[in-house]
Amino acid sequence: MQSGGLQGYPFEMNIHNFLCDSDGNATAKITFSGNDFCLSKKYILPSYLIECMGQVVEKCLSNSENSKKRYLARIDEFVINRDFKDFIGVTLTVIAKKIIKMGNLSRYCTEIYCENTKICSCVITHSLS
Amino acid sequence: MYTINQIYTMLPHRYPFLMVDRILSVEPEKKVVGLKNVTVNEPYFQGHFPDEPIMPGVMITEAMSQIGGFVFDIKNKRGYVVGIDKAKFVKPVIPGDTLIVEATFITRIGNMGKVKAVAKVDNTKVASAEITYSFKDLGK
Repeated sequence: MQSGGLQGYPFEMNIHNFLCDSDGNATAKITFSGNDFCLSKKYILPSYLIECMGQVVEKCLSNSENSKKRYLARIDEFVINRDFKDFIGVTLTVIAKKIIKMGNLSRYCTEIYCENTKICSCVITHSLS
Repeated sequence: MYTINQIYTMLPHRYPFLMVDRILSVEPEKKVVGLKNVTVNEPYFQGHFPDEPIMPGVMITEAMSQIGGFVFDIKNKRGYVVGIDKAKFVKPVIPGDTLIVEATFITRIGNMGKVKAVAKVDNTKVASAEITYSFKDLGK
């Protein structure tokens, strides 16, 4: 199982089928189980979906900046479709597109889909050190 | 001030996702100040990170969101976070810290509301964000 980075249980998201191109853009699949920590209550917190997107980005960054630590620096333009509620038993697709790398900051636009339904999106900035 | 027992009657969140321990002051539709103690026993520290416990930025955002919701003077409705913007994480938050979140009312239009939240430890800013909520009738 591929993981996002240095996180461990229960904060490591179940990322698989990770594909990254030479431009640093990536797609990945994420699945949840009813036994997952983040689904121990009925509804997943939006914060965990942001964490999913962030860990896929960190996986992209580890390909190119493996020797550096990666810290979440900013979240912008996060929006979520609250009508989508069925997270168990479905496969979610995370899409991460590199916007810019400037100095020790790296910014990605990320989205999560379930088939053709967009669940959420945001712009994530990481600091590398 | 709202103690944890009062917070239980006002927020549906429970362990392990309740990110507020006390509301210190509320000025409806103006400002709310809340508190969250950060302890090493919280479940996410086990994995974030195994060798260096740091409160995840998204959980700081969750604390800001839950405390920020108290600023709205709304009855019989539940607030859902639908947007987060300009969230910045300035300094790490670690076990032993006390997170104080000050959320200031920005606007409320119809069933949508927005706050600006600032999280501090020892009076030093550690994070901030603008959070947008959607309010729906309870039971819907």
